[in-house]
Formats: sequence, structure tokens, C-alpha cells
Amino acid sequence: MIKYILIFLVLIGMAWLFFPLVVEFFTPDITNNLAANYVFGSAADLNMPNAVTAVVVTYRGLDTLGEVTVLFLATAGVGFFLKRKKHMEGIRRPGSEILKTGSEILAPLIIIFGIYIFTHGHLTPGGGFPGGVVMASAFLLLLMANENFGFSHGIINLTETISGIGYVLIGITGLVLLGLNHFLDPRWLGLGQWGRLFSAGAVPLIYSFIGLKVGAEMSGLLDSLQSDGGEQ
Amino acid sequence: MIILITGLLLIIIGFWAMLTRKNLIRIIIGFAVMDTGINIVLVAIGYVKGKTAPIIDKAVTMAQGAEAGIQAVDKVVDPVPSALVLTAIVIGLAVTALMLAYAIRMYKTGNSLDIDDFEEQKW
Amino acid sequence: MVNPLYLIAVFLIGAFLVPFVDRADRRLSLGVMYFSLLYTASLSLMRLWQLFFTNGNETQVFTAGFQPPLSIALSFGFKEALLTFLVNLTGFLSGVYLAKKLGKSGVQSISILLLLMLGANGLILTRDIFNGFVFLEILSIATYALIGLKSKKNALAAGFKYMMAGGLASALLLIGIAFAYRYSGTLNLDTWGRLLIPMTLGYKIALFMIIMAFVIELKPFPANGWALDVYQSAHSGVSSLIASVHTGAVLYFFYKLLPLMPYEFLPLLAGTGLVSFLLSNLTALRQKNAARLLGYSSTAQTGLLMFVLTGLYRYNVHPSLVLFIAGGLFFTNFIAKSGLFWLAGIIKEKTTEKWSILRKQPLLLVLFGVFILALTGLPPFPAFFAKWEIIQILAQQGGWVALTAILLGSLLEAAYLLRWFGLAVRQNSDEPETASLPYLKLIPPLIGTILLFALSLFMGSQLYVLSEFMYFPLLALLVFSILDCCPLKLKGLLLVAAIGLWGWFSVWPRLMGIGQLFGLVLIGGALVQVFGFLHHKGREAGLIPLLAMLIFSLGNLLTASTKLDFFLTWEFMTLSSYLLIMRGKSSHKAALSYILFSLGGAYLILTGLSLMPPFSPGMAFYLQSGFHSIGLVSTILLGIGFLIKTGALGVHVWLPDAYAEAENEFTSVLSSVLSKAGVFGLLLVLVMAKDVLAANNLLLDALSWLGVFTAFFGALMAVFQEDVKKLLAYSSMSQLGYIILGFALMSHLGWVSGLYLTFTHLFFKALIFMAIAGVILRTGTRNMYEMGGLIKKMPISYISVLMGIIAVSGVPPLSGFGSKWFIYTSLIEQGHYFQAGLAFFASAIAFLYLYRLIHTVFLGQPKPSQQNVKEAPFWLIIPQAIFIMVIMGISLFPNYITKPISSAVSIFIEKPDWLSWTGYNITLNSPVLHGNWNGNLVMLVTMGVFGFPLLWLLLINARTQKVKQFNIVFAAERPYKPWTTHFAHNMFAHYNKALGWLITPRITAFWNGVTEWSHSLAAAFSHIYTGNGQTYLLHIFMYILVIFIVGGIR
Repeated sequence: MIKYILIFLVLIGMAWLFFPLVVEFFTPDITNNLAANYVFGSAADLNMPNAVTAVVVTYRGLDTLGEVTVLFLATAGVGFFLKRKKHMEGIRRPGSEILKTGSEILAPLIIIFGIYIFTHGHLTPGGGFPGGVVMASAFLLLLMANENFGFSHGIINLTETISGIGYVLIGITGLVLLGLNHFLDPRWLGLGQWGRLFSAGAVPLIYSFIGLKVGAEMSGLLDSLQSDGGEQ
Repeated sequence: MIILITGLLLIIIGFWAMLTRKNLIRIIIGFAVMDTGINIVLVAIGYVKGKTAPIIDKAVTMAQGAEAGIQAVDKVVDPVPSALVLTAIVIGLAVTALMLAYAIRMYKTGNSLDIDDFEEQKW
Repeated sequence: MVNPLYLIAVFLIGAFLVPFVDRADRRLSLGVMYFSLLYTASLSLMRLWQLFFTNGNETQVFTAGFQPPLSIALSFGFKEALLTFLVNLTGFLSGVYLAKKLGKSGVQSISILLLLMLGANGLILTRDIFNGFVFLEILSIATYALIGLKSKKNALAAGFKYMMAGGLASALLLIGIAFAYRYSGTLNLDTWGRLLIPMTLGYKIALFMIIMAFVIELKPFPANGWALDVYQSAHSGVSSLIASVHTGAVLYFFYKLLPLMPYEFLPLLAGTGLVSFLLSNLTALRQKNAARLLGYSSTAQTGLLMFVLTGLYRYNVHPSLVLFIAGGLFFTNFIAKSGLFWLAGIIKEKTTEKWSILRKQPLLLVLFGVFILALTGLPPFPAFFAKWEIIQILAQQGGWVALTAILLGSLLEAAYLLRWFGLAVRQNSDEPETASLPYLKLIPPLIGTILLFALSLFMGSQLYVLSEFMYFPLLALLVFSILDCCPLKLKGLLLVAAIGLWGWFSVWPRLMGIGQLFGLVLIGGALVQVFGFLHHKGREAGLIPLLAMLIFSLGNLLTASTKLDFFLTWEFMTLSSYLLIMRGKSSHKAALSYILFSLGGAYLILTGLSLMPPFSPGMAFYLQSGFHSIGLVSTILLGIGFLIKTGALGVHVWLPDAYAEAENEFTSVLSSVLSKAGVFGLLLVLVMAKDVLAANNLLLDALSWLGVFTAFFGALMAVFQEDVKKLLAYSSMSQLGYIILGFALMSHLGWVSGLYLTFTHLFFKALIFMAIAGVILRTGTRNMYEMGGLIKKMPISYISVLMGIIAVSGVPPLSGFGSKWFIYTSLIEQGHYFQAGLAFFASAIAFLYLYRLIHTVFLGQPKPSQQNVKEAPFWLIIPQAIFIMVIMGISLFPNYITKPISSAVSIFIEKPDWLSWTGYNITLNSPVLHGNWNGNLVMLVTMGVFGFPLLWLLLINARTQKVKQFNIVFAAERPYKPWTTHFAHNMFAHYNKALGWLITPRITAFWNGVTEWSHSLAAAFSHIYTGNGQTYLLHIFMYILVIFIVGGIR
């Protein structure tokens, strides 16, 4: 009982802690200096219409590298916890005919859509993360439709490794070609023409690696979770 | 403003769930709710009155390159929170996935999903 | 410049590569891991090299070719390079330690370990708050995942609790960052730090949430139940990573955030750190589980570090000094804690009780000892220097609350750590045979130890001007440890030679006056007794090195010049004597009480020293002390500190047990030599406190009464002991009471008497103890009623004890008489009649126990079981013979001692005109007292008076018929407890009836009460850790809110 009162008090307390934040909050009319610099720099220095991508991939690219790592870590962690059993019993219900047929038609389309999203991340909303997740959703579809569907772990691992190392190597290329302060600088590739697919330096390349990696990781994650969850 | 309050409210609901629900899965859901709340707060913070997404397309300006940058500066919202929220989402996802994996393993070793059954270590 | 991004890149590539190469071979993936860890460590080392030898001021590196705040900046300066080096090296060692486990677990665990290191490195390097958040998450998630390396239920539960707490912390951090960004418009720490942002409540709350997120990650008491569970149940390799790498990286980022925080946060954070330090240590007192104990200690140390980083700014401390202090504490804790976790994993015993199996593993035992002693803050480890500096700052600037908390916490920490050490060292007959050691797992702690010593040397030599001889004790320890495989006798003789040469050529020429006197006592006295140790048959591992360290530090006590020199030596002495006491058969409890009282005393001394003005290097401390004058507080602190070492009444509790349980020969050194170090200290205090004492009569009166009561009660307690060593222990205490009494007079004659007794006490007490050591060795018991009639079996020992007790009792002609004569005359001269009366009464009591000693052991009827007892070994006779000769010499020619003492004293207290030496005659002609003493004459006369009857007796004795013991026929009755009928059992029962009420152990009861009380307090505190994850979460929330409210942030 005391515990519940304490919990109640604590929640009230946290709300009370948040209260000044709300009181002082106002929606500004202009962006702050940093944001303005980002928006301007995205177009001027990187020749990239999508300022968010500019921030994500280039200006704060290290965060994104970390982010990819976190995802990789989660996959590794989940895979580590839920080791795949060698012999999976067919406990799972087979997918319906509609699902099966539909998945066969849809999965390739979804994958292509995913690829589109991550290759155009510097131009349109989207990028490596949504693209990768969309790709993984295609695998989820296949996974649900076919009870015996299994990933080749070799391919997933290979994709993860190549895309991950590729990402890091692109970063290092900037370092090697442009100098000390240019880790993850995409400008060693030509900036290209405004609004084209092959523009903004190495950004499309980076986002492709991210997309592939996220796709592979999410697929792996789903696989680990389902292969273990199925067994009672 | 309303978005912000919604976010904070979700955070507190998440706190509540994490503090009171006994089922591990529900605790994890509480965590996820809290995470969502945080993401909403982040988005709310980046908003600038009457501005559009920080992507320079035809709706913002027809110019290209540096010129586009100059023109877009006062037409778009802050791109930083958008970038941060992306990271935050991924991290939230990662932690949630790991928590779920933990829950599964705990269920297998302890045969229970009740958090009160996992307090052998103390003092 | 080495680009820090390579550190990050190497880890990433390694982590990504591992799952792939693992398809080929597991060893390949382990290889990738070791390569990554070693490579990054060497990169950091290269960076350190660069910083030292090329002047690169540039430390920041940007990413993506843009200046911050647009891009993320990393900093790779000295601090970062050192930290990443240690972190990566520890990572490598953990990898070695975990090799088997990682090899067996899924390949993912290797990737996860690498990413954990990535997170730590990134957190240390980054200068961007959000980037810090990302790396913190990498670090935390990797930690969560690694906790699952042990798939026991408890480990998983602990991991889940950790995730809940960590998730909450990250949530707070993220909310804080989001709102703070609203106010600052930047995420770069450097840009942010230059901004002047109005401190509105909202902004403060945002910052508060940010900093509290890190505080929670640092596991403060009491919001740390989850962390303790993790420490307890995770694989020891993982616990070690959490305690060192995780905590280190988080702490460093916490430190980077501090410049952003409003000033009002700092005392708040300092307070939380202190509370965490004190209460974690208190709660740990009751802990029996080794890993959990380490968890408590870890959280406590982190608390102390938090205090250092946030609390010291108030005292206008130079930031580099703060870093030095933090570094000293941090590195010690970093290495020692991971080392202890590693050892815990090797031992595989959960409870500290079971650690006695360590005794069979000398290497492990040494490693364990080094880590424990380093954590305790004993020299030469870096934490010692750090604590020294903290106390200097706090004492000088009046931070009394913090100072008390830190010293109290340190003492509590020492209590449980050393108790654990004692349990490991103690001899236990029914310990199981240990399996063979996992040699691979031994490498990490071994390298850790080497690193610890290297760091100690670095810190000690780079930052302090220590006299070169300050290294001698350690050097001696090292050299004799290397020689430790030689036969005992060779080692011992080498030691004697080394000390002799060193003492004669190095120490003696530098001494003068009082220094020479104490040089004779401390070095000479110890040197002679080294022979006594050599009778042992075995190799006696560890004995000679520790003895060497002890004697060298005793000598250094005299030549030390600065305050640090002095204190360092003092601690060396305490440390080596503690370890020597530990060598006793069942001494672990006694040793614990000895070291705790000693440390308590040392902390008082430390505080007292801190209040004193600085001493200049070069000139000996005791000589400089003549020019200094200290205040009241300092006097009291130093006085009590040194009195503890002498075993004065009230703080004597450690003394009887330590004396009784130490090895017999070492008891002799303890009593005759080591207690004199306390006397030396006390003397210095009195010299320096002249002004205070002149203004405040009460202090001296208190001291003199303390001396009298120590003499009186010591004697009284000695009377009722059955244990011969305890009897002598109390007798020692009583004698030291006289010494204190003499000094407390603050008169020339008083000091002469004190010093004279200091001198003679050495000889006669060492003589008796050495003789008794032989007796105990031969009879195998310490109970006097189990001995008897040994005069025929051990005549030489008998003569030694006889001489000794004549000297102790103060009857003419031996030297004891002189000391008593001096004491009484000086007491009466000063008009202290009451004290004189009681002291005289104490001397009368001394007859009782001395009679008991000689009678029950040597006279009376021999025990049948002791038919075959032989004389004591030759090696034990050597010191006895020397001491007898010295006593005879002094007794015959007391002037050779008293005159130098008088002239040494006259430096401090002028010799009155009415005191003079003419020939062998000392003459007193003071206004109140007249007297003279001619030691030479007294001796000659007494010898004559004694000699003639002796000759006569011998003459007629030839004609007597000797009756054998068993000529007497016993009655057929056998009592139930035969020994109780022995006259020596409970010998002075009738006196006990009359005076026993005086010695009911009130003081012991008081100290026991202190112990019990703190234990039950610890129990009460530990009950907040209910084991429930949600309760822990609630604790965190409450903790944050309470701090917010207490801090009055508005």
C-alpha cells in the first residue's frame, strides 16, 4: 500500500518536474542558428536537398554510425540470447493460400521499394533506416507465409559484414583522401547535379550500405525472435 | 504545445506501467510507451511555426544549390530534432528487442513472467 | 596526430568482421578481437607518446570536414589518451580472461565485447552530448547483453533490472538533451560551454535531468540495487568490465558535462557522492558474498570520485590537482577492482568465508593482497597520494563534514576489505585441496598488478619530491622477495648486514640528538631481534621481506623530512607490521583490530599533519618540528593518533590480542620497538604543541592522567592473565603509560625519564619476550598454568626472564630502577603527588604479575608432559645475550645514556641548573627536591650483596639431596579439571575479588558496541535492497526527486 502511495507521489513528482518545461515552452517563429546553418550548408556545401539526410549522414554521421552499431548490437544480443535451435518442429501454422500467393507477388516489389527509399535518401524523405525496415518487412511477409522459410545465415552475415565494413571504410576514405577532419565526409566523390540520384557525393552510397545493413539486421532480429518464440 | 504535453503524458504513463505492472512483457510495453513519448517530445521541440519539412523540394523553392539553401533557411523546421529522433527510435527499438529477448530467456529459466518472482538476490 | 576515429573504426570493423570470419574458425574471431583491442591500446599509447615528446597542442578532431558545432568533434588529449589506453588494455585483459567463455558462447558475444569497448572509447572521446548519448547506449546495450553471458536465473533477473534502470536513465538523458537543445541551440559541449544562457527553471531542469541520468548510471547509494545484483550475479569478467570500463567511461563523460551545469548543482552532486561513499561502505560491512561486496566497494569509490570532481572546486583547487586526485583514486580502483573481480572468478567461492583456500596459492594470495591494500588507500598505491591531497585540501580549508565522511568511509571500507583479506590468509585446517589454477585467467590480474605498481611509481615520482631513501622500504621488500627462495638463515643474515650497513653509513650520520636515541631504539633494537627469527626450520616465506620493509621504514621515520615523507613512512610501517602480525597462526581477528586502530590513528595523524604548515625537504622532520608550532585541533588529532600506536588506555583494545596472536618473536619487536614509534610521534607533537600546551593546562593534565591510568590499569590487567603473552602485552602497555606520564610533565627531568624508560623498556621487554618465545616454542602452549619448573630445562631463558623482571620491576640494581627513580623524582619535583602515588601503586602491582610470570613458568614442579623440553634454540639466545649485556652495561654506567638524553632533551626543554652529573652521580638540587643517584655504585653494591649469599648458597647446596618430582606419591583422587587445581591457574583469585571490578572490560565493551552498532546499521540499510526491479526503479525516481527538492533548484 505504501508502495502505491509512493508510486503515485513519484508520478506526481515527475509531472511536477516536467511542468516548468511545459510552461517555458513556446513554438518559435524562426529556426535557430545551427538549424539554419544546416539547411543552408546542406544545399550549399553538399548539394543535397534533404537537410535531415545531410545532418544524419554527414554532419552528424558519427551518430548514425553509432546507430547502425546499436542495431547490430541488438541483433547480436538477441541472437546471442535466443540461440536458434537446430531442429525446428513444425509447430507453426502454415500461412493461408492468399498470404502465400500475395507474398510471392509482393515481396519482390517491397524489396525494390525499399531499395528505392534508401538510394533516394538524399533527395526525398526516407533513407537507409526506413528503406532497410521496408526490406525487412518483405522478409517478415515471407516468414509468415511459409512455415519452413529460413534465412541463409551466411548471406545475412555476409551482407551485414560487407555493408558494415563498407560504411566504415567510406568514412575512412574521407579521412585518407581529404585529411584529418574528414571522417565520413562524402565530398571525395563528386557532388554531382542538384536533385539527381548520383549527387551529394558518397551519401547515396552510404545510405545504401545503411539500408542493406539495417535490412539484414532487422531480418536477422525477426528471425531470432520468431525461431525462439515458436518453441514452447 | 499539445504535442509536447501528449509526449510528456505518454512518458508518465510509461513510468506508471514500468512501476506497477508485474508482467515482464507489460513492463516492456511501458518502456516502449515511454520511448514513444520521448520521440514525440523530440519532434515537438523541432517544430517551427508554419514551416515545412527540411527538404528543399519544389514546394520550398525552385532554386538549386547554395541559392536554394539561402532561400530555404526560413521556410523549413529545425532538421536537428528530426535527425535525433531517428537515432532515438532506433536505439529504443534495440533496447526493446533486447528486453524482449531477456524476457523470453527469463521465462525459460524462471518459468514465470512475473517480476516478483525474480527477487532472490537482495541485501 | 593519431586520429581517434581509428579507434572507433577498428572496433567497428572488428565487430562487423567477427560473425563472418567465425564461419571459418572460432579462433580466428578471437584473434580479430585481440588484435582490435591491442591495436587500439597501442594507438592510445602512441598518442600518449606524441603528447609527451612532440608538442602537439591540437587535440580536437572533427568529422565530415566541418567545424563544430555543425559536425561532431572528438578530443584526443592526454586525459583521453590515458583513459582509452587503460580501457582498451583492460578490455584486452578481460578478453584474455574471458577467452574460454567467449569461445564456448555464441560468436555474438565477441562482437558484443568489441562494441562495449567501442561505446566506452566513444564516450571518452566525444565532445558532443548527443553523440555521447549514442555511445552510452552502445556501451549500455552491450553491457546488458554481456550480463546474459551467464544464463543463470539470477544473472538474467539482474540484467533485466539493470535494463529497467538504464532505460530510465537514458530516457531522462534524452528528454534532458531535447529540452536543453531548445535553450542552447547546440549539442557541441565546447560551443555550449561558451554560451551564456539565462538560467531559467526549465533550462535548469533539463540540465538536471541530463546530469541525473549520468549520476544514476554511476550507481549512487541508495538508487543502486540493480547494480549490486548485476555485480553479484554476472560473470566475474563482465562484472570487472562494468566496474572498470563502464564506470570509467561514464564518469569521464559526467566530468565533461560539469562545465555546463549551474554552480548550484555542484555541491548537490558532491553531497550525493559523499553519501554514496559513506553509506555504501557502511552497508558493505555485513556483506558476505564476495562479488556483492566488491559491488558495494565499487559504488562507494565511484561516489568518492563524484565528490572529488564536483566538490573540490569550492576550495579553489587547481583543476589539474583535482584531476590528479581523481586520477589516483580512479586508476587504483580501476585496476584493483577489475583484478579482484577476476580473482573472484578464479576462486569460484561465493562467500568471503571460503576464501581461505587462497592460502594454498601464494601467487594468488599476493595478488589479492596487493589489490586489497591498494583499495584501502595504503601506500605506495596512487589512491594513497590522492587521499593525502584530498585531506590536505579539506583540512586546510575547513571542509570538516566532507573530511569526516571521507575518513569514516575509508575506515569502514578498510574494515570489510581487510576482514576479507584476513579470512583469506587465516589458517584453516579443513580447507579443501584446490584444483589446478587456470593459468590463462591468471595473466590479467598479474598484468594488472604490474600496471598498478608502474602507476604508483609514476605518480609518486612525477608529482612529489620524495627523498630517494623513501623508496628503500619498497626496494627492500622487492629485493628480499626475490631472495625469498633462499634458506631463512642466509636471508636473515643478509638482512642484518643490509640494515647494519645502511644504518651505520646512511642513517646514523644524518641523525643528531633525539634522532640518535630513537635511531638506536628503532633500528638497533630491531636489528638485534632479527636473529631471533632465524631459529625457524622452514623457509618462512614472506617473513624476511616484510621485516626488511618494516625496519627500513622505521629508519625512514627518523630521516623523513616533509610531512608527506613522514606520513608515507608511517603508513609503510603500519602496513608491514600488519602483514607481519597476519603471519600468526590464528591472528586474523587480532590483526584486523590492529590495522583498523592503526588506520584510524593514521587518519587522525593525516588530518593533524594537514593542518600544519609545510615542512621543507632536506632537513629531518623531527628537527624541523622544533621550529613549528601547531594549533589545538592539530595537537589533539596528532596526539590521539600517536597514542593509539602506543596503546594508551581507551585505545588499547587492539593491543593484547595483537601481541598475543602475532608470532612470538614478532611480538617482541611489536612491544619493544614498534610502540616506540608512537612514542617518537608523541614526542614530536609535544615539541610542536608547546604554545598550545602552555595556554591550555587541561591537555597536559589529561595526558599525564592518561599515562598514569594506562600504567595502573595495564598492570592490573596483566595480573589476571593466564596467557603469558597477554600478561606481557599488558605489562608493555603499563610501561608505556609511564613513558607517557614522563612526557606529559613537559619538564626536562620528565622527558629524560620518559626517554630513559623508552630505552630500557626496549631492552628488558625484548629480553623477556625473546625468552618467552623460546619457552612457548618448546612447550607449545601460552597458558602459564600449563608450564612449570622449566628452570632446569631452560636455565638460560630463566636467567633472561629473571634479569628482565628485575629490570621491569624497578628494584635496584638494574636499569629499571633508574627509570623509576627518574619518574618519581620528576613527578614529585613538579608537584604531581597524586600521579606519583598511583604510579607507585602500579609498580607494586607489577610485582604481582612479574612474580607470577617467573614463578609459574620456571619454578614449581615440572609438568610430566614437558619432560623432554630443551633449552631455547641458539638463535633466540643471541638477542637475549646481547640485551643482557646491554642491560648490565646501562645499569653499571647509566651516564652513557642519561647524559646524551639530557643533552638531547635540552634542545627542546632547557636543562635546569639544579640537575648535574658528577662522575657517576646524578644530583638533583631543585627548590622542592633533593636527591642523587649513582647507578654505578648501586650496581656494584647490589652485586656484592647478592653475590656473597649466592656463593654461600652454592657452597652449601652441594650437600643437599635432590628430591625428584615423582618421589611424591599422589592420592588416588583425580579432580575433574586437573589444571584448575594448579596454583598457577587463576593465581591471584583473591586479588581479583578485591580489584576485579576495576578491570571489567568496559572499554572493550564500548568498542564492541561500536562494531555491533555499525553492523546493525549496515543491516538496516541493506534492507532497502529488496531484490525487486520495480522497487529499484522507484528508488531511482525517489532519489531524483529528493535531490531535486533538497537541492532547492528553482
